[in-house]
Amino acid sequence: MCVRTTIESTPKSDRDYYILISDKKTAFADIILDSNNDDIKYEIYDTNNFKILINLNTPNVNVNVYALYLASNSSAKLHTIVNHNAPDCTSFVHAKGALTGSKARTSWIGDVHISPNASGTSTNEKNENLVLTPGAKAVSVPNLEILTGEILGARHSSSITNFDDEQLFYLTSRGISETAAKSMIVGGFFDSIISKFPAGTAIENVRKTIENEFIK
Amino acid sequence: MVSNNLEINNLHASVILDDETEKGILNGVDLTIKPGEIHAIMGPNGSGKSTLAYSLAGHPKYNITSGSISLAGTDLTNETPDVRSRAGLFLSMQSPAEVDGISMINFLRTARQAHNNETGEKLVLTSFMKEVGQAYSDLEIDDSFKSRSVNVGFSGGEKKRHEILQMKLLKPKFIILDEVDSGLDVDALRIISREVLSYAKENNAGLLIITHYNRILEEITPDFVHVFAEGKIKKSGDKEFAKELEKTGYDNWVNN
Ligand SMILES: Nc1ncnc2c1ncn2[C@@H]1O[C@H](COP(=O)(O)OP(=O)(O)OP(=O)(O)O)[C@@H](O)[C@H]1O
Ligand SMILES: [Mg+2]
Repeated sequence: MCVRTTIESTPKSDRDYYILISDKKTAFADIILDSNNDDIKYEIYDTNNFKILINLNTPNVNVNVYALYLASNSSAKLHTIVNHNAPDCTSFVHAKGALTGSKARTSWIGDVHISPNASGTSTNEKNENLVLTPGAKAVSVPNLEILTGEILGARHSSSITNFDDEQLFYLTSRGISETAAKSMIVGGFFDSIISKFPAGTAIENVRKTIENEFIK
Repeated sequence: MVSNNLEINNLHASVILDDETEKGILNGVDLTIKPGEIHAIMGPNGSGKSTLAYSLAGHPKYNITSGSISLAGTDLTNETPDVRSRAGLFLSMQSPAEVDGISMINFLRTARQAHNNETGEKLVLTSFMKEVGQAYSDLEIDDSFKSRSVNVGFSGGEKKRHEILQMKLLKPKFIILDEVDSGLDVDALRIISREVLSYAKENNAGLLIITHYNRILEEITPDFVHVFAEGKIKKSGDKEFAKELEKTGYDNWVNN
């Protein structure tokens, strides 16, 4: 699955990982991981608590992590760790979470470690949270440790936004029912992650969970 | 006899503030708009013009405390925004919301489908797409906007053109334009005025234009001009009244 190369001029190889976290087992079923690969390790503490560790030990590897976590009056935790141990690798972690119900709690911790010999590293971590109910709480912690001065780029961003009533009004003012409008807005929020998932995964279950738990 | 008018009777409304308290804004608005009529409302900043527009459209932040709104004999006072829209009311907003992750075309189709469900008219996708294409070219917007997220990153003028594009595709009976002319360049103002006017004429739609400027009223001649201050209509006149207001200002109409 992982194509290794040491030649600078060849295109970077791709490894994409997809993570779904919810307390619904059905939605969780489809973590797509390459278990024969030493460079990746993961720990599942519970259906809603997940840690993934990616070691970039070979130069010129491009890794993407797409993660989605849902908490419906429950909790969901995700810890992503990317260790850049070799030069010229890129990593992109995009994690999106949604919370509904006043007891919902989520946390995302995103560690990126760039070792002294990992020159030419480019990394980007993006975490976005959508809070649908007052009282629900999301925690977002990006940790970036850079031990070389010769990187191409290191970015991180996190946001926690409340469901926007102005958006809901806008869609309903055009004749769309409140339920349908809410579904469009929440679906729109997840779209950039869900559209990345390969077909035939647990996506249909995720869509159902979103429909049943997050839009009513 | 059932009228086809938009009737606003003694409307009182307050805004619900973040701390859940309410602040009264509308103090008894009376206005009847007949199909095909063009009304303009002018008035100072903060007098409640947008509040009137939002209250008509059913914005949940505004609470109608007394009075009523009806359209063609149907009482809309307590209806949700989607019901009002499907009943034939359209509000072009002063600052339209941005919605990420929903393409413009998906939004337009869903909205139109909701309207068609009301009338029982079948939505044929191919002819709808043609209609959309025509609307884009009428408003002189590049149709690559169709695949962009609703209003996200649109310029002020692009947003206003898309408001009027939605008007054309949703076929309302009554149209409220809340400062559709603010921030438009001369070409955009001409295009938007032309499209609104021709739509209203062809469909015998009623029009309420909220504006600070005479420019748009030179393009779309109003039958009535109302001066709005302190949450109500203080005086009404014809199109000459708008010119007078622009010269004299609103001092005569504000008490405090
Ligand atoms: N959501 C809100 N929260 C707090 N105050 C509000 C809100 N909406 C309206 N108001 C207040 O109500 C009053 C009327 O506002 P409105 O927007 O209706 O005025 P306007 O006549 O449209 O003004 P402009 O000409 O500047 O657009 C203002 O004092 C405004 O601050
Ligand atoms: Mg206003």
